[in-house]
Amino acid sequence: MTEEFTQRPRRSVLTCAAMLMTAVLATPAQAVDATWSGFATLGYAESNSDYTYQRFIDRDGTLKRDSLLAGQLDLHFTPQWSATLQVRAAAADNREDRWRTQASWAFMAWRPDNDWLVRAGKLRVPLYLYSESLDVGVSHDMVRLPHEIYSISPSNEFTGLFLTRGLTVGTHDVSVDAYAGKSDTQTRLWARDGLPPLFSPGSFLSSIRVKVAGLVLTARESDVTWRLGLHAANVRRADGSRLAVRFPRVDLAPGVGYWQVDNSIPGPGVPSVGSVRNVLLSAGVEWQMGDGWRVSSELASIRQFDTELGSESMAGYVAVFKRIGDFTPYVSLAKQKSSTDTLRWARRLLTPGLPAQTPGAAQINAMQRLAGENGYAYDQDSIALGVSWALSPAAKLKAEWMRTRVGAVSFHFDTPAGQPGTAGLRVNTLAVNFSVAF
Amino acid sequence: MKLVRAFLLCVSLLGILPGQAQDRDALVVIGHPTLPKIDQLTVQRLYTGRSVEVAGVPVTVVNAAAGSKLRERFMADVMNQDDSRYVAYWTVRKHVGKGTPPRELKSAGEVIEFVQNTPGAMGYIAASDVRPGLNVVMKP
Repeated sequence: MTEEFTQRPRRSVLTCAAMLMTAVLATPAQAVDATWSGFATLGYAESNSDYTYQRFIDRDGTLKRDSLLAGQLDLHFTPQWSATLQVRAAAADNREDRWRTQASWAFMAWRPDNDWLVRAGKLRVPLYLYSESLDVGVSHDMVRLPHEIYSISPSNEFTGLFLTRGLTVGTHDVSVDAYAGKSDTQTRLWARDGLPPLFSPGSFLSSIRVKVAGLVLTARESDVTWRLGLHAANVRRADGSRLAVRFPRVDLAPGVGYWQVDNSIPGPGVPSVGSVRNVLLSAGVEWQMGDGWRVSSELASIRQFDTELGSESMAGYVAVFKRIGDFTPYVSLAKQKSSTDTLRWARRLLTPGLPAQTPGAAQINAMQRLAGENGYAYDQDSIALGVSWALSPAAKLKAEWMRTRVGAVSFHFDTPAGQPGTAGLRVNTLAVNFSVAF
Repeated sequence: MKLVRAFLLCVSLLGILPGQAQDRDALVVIGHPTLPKIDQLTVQRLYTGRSVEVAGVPVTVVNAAAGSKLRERFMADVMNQDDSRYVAYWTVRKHVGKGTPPRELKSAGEVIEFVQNTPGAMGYIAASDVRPGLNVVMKP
């Protein structure tokens, strides 16, 4: 199944590569100015828990969460026309236990004057302050940007059109970004028990097709950068199967019943839609306060229409940095909390209570739990203390300790077989990264 | 009276000596003959990729080699930042698909040759390297 859906992103990248080749061939060889560059991060992270965090981090330690290698080719055909291809090798997002090399950026750019920039191809969704430089570890001081907020969208990449209009308003450099496109991607989910023999326990990938569009306003002064974004995403399953709106309650006796999570079990039928609409609002600020102090903070809220079972949540963080020579210690606080409805559905479905003596109870309870794990419920916060050491302008060594607390539930953690859910979990994570650009 | 003269002499020396040192270290921004005079803010915008043209002329800027004294002075006097911050800025900008940093040329001779022969080109050299006929577009 996964292979089928990886064909589409590949096709779009091939289209971009074909555009690049066409542009190269159409330009006299001596007119093309080509530059190579790259960046890499070697990162190790380890926690004190068996509940795997952010897909990879547990007490065994991992290099997969943060390590990556990327190369970039920039071609300048004329002062106005250029093309960029960035290829990244990192832990695969479409397979477990594999590495994957794929184009993370592949676009043609046209900059007719100071005010306009038009890009077409595979690009990064400008959701947050640092979305576009997410992979470039040397560009930030934090070991990794707060997962509570930077994971809120299933996809950070899209293939489409991106317009930027720059203007000066008083002492501010203002840019307005508008973009639209689509993305074929996977969301990763975790089943503690599965539904043997139909569904194995462990991770499973759900292929989705996302249409995105958005508008972002960024204002920069010498010391402060503000960003406001409004993004819309329409999500449907890549295989065309429908998405549940809610699960009807089926009462067998007073206080005894279940949630009908699939039409194969008795009940009035599960209402469903072909796609769901999401709206994400984001706001961020980075303030250079002087004397080496810097604060960055972001807020994001995702609102989901058409279903009660989606990923509606709110997230934010604040981080304070102090530059002392080549060292930058920092502290950050981050929080993510799903909507009351989302958390209520998670609670209902993850604690199925159909008595064992009821015919088919084991099967129905397992299906109910599986449906619950097929959601996106988060209630967690974290505090991180870290330091980055700038060995040169293009190399950074970073270390971080982070403590994460889970409230009711968090699907950022994988619950091991036979273990209780994530409620009340406390996890310490240590990470060391070396990032370089070349 | 002698005391006053001595004082005035000291003051004039204090005024002149740093001035001479400043002239010796001064740099100028030069451009292709098609480029008009520009201000410091415009130079900053061009060297950070936020502007790509001046008066409708597409501009290609070049830098001195990283680590050179001339570049250090340019960063301090014109860009108002140190070179490490400038390099870090371009590391991000380049890898988010918003352009590439200016080409680096090793000597004043290379900069002059490039600027004179490339329409829209702009660079900087020490004031002492200025030759007759060069288009000086900005003096910091």
